[in-house]
Amino acid sequence: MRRVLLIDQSKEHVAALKAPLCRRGFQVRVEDLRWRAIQVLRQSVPRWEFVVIVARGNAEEDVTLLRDLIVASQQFHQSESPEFLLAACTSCAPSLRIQIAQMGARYVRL
Amino acid sequence: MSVSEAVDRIIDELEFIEAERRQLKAKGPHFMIVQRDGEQCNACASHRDFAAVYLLHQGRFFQVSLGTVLMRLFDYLARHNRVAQTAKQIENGTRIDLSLRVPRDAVSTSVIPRRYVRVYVRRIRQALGVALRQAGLEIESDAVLASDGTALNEVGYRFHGTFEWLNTAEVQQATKDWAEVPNRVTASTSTHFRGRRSHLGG
Repeated sequence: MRRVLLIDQSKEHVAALKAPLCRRGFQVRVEDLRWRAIQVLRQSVPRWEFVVIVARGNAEEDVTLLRDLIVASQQFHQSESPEFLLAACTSCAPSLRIQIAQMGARYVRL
Repeated sequence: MSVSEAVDRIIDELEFIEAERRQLKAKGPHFMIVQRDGEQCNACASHRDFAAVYLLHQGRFFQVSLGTVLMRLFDYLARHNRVAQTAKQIENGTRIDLSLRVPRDAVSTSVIPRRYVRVYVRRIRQALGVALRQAGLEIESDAVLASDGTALNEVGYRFHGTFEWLNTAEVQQATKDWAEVPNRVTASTSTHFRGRRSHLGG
């Protein structure tokens, strides 16, 4: 089972995202709070293959969150770090996209 | 964009990343060996003047910083990557390769002596480690250039990766074609680009 940690602060939309992902064979855990998502990634046993952040508002905040999540993940798991994907609903400035790429994460515009 | 389209896009991206990971695990990283002369650029050409070795990952080139002799050993091991090569085999192999194609006086300077092989392999691994880190790949260089034990004390060295050989002219053409692909920048940052994780701290 492919495990996905989905971070979306919009509770209305998250169910619409989660159901199709589960149908396609992904095991999804949803987190809407940043601190809790960071805590989840700090678990001693690596559990997640993918971490998807759905950016609905200010992309800068989400890039900061992305950085925090990557750092949290790398603190404990040097070898089995998950792949990070930032799915942005609004357009993201090129400078931010460069930052995302430099962090080793993927970007997709929804 | 509707929710279903958004979900499809996320799933496409996740499946792409997964396929990429799977391929990397199964076949190892991909390398490009560039030779300076423009004559023979296949895996059978033996006596060559090497220009560079690159690690290719997500559309980006990362140079593996190797000296001339190390590039020659890299090339030899890449061409014989189906079977682990011991130091003795490497010495004999490079001597046979060269004696077929180049003047006799050049042979003695280009053969890789067996007593140097272990040190050279260590240096190749160091350079590989740097390139792999730059590419953001979480693979140990020992896994890419692996050591296989034998029944005796000898150790065989074997690459776990895929290789292509090009000459400098072909590389220039390839990079030109690469740059001319429409929306290359967009594609590289959205799906294929993966930068250095070492930037995180800065």
